[in-house]
Amino acid sequence: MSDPMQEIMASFFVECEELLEALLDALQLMADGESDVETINVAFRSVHSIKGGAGAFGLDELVSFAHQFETVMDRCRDGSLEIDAKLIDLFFRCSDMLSDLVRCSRDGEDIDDVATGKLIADLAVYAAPPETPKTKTQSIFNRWCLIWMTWEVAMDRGCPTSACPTLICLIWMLRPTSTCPTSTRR
Amino acid sequence: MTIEVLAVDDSRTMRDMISLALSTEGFEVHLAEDGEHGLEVLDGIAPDVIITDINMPKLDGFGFIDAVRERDDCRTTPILVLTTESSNDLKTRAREAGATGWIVKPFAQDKLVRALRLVSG
Repeated sequence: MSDPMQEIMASFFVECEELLEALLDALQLMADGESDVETINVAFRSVHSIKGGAGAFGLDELVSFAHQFETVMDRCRDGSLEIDAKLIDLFFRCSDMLSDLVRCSRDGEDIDDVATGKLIADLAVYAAPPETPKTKTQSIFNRWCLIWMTWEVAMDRGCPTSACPTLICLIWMLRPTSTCPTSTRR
Repeated sequence: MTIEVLAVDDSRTMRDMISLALSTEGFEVHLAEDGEHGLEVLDGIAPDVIITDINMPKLDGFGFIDAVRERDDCRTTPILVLTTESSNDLKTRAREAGATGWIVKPFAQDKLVRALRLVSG
């Protein structure tokens, strides 16, 4: 008597082929400039469904790659990432990799970790939202505030004003005693 | 008493897995492949519990839950979301739409069965 889980797993790999075909069709529409909102949804769902099924069978490499792939696609879906020729090219390469991972998982072949890792790194560039000008400004402001406060405290504790790189201020500030033989300020 | 379940998922693999996991535990399982199909199936049955995925074509899980809650015959039917998503924002959105609970895929058979028995009373 056949194992029902083995039958479902075989069915999963057949479904993967259909999903990969749908993914390629959607990517081709995007490359041809003929895509709409549903096109990116179809592409996303294809990768998402492969991930879901792979998770059920413990195909961890497939899950990891599909997760990073769908994360970037999700950013395209919600409009936070603009789709351009470079990104579509990356999606095509990821689609090929996904296809390879499905085949390797099905046939029990070794997975090319280096190639997979390289593409995951390429995807990671798009996966996180870039630092906005506001947060950059905030970050610089915060750093200057910290330096300034360090300076102020160091001066209050008698750090020499003539030689005051921030590092010296920090070291001086952390000294157990606040006396400074060359200081003119208390 | 047999617990009747409607499971809505666009992945054939997931539908097969849910069906296998629940039928072997004595549940009566009905399947639908997207939200629209789920509403059509609901016209002919009165399930004790509904399971739904979120990312589906035609009508997604949120739209499906909204539509189910608008039906007089399903206002109080427990709805469990079964998805790979796990963000709190999506959970909140599902809860606000009227979902009863949330289970993350891949699911463990015993956990799913326990949850279904719990919510179906």
